[in-house]
Amino acid sequence: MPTNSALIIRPNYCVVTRYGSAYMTQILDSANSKSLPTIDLHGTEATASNFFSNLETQDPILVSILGHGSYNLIACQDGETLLVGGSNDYVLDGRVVYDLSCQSGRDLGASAVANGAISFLGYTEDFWVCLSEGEHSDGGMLNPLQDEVARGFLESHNVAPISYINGSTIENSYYNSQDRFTYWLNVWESIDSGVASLLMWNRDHQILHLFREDPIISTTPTPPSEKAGIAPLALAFAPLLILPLMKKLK
Amino acid sequence: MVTKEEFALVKKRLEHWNEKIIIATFRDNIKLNKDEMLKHIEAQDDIGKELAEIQMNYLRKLKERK
Repeated sequence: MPTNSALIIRPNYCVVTRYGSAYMTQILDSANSKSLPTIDLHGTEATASNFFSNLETQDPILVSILGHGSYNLIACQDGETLLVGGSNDYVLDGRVVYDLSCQSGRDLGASAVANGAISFLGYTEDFWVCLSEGEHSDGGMLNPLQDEVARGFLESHNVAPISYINGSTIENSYYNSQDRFTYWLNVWESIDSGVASLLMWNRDHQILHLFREDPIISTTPTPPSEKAGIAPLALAFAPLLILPLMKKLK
Repeated sequence: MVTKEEFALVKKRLEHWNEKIIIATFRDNIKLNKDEMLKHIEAQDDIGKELAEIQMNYLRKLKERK
């Protein structure tokens, strides 16, 4: 029986994993704020052997995965194979899985749930991210967290595991993520419909495979007013932050 | 299935793409700037087809909303 803890694997070896792993600190921050024990496999630590050994020794209920993917496979650091549907996905038995990879929500996600995972949220086709051209050697910005173009893409995914950590049901964590994609889609429609089209693609190909709805993860109780935090306020003003940036990009 | 006319429409759309925005996926380290996107559209290869599908998905949904 998995324990009340989380495992996050976030490789960092190309522009998109560098961005994804930077934004996954949002999930880590949320887990920390709820005092949820968390194993963070980052960069060179994001290997298959570390992943499997930590699943065995720590037995976390929540697993958040970042990596390149295809319909039936997810890779970790430097493209090492991590999970293959029907081969080793039984390690996800009894766990709630949030996966930010291309395509693996289709076959691997279905297989994982058929092999015992409580749920698997992923994407049935490619997950695209728009980035601002920057000074980093990989073409992106030096600090991905300052890239307001990428923010909506990665934050919209992260809302799903963060919602679950904050007490939402698995199903509602999916709807919260869908709503966040739609929010950013509406923001970008008035700025750049090209960016909006990719947000829509990701939203429309997000999938939740759900075997059974388990009790929500138990975290430190937080009064409702604290739960909201400054996130709603920050979201309300997000378009105002983006407009000056877009002027700079023109 | 993206038609010839749809490819032409998507090409016109991507000609207005912001040159300072690049796109990347969590598949095979694919990273594209505006010129590279247009080349894939012209070649109508697998990536070009996907880019066209993304734009057409958006345009169709936009039309449904109106």
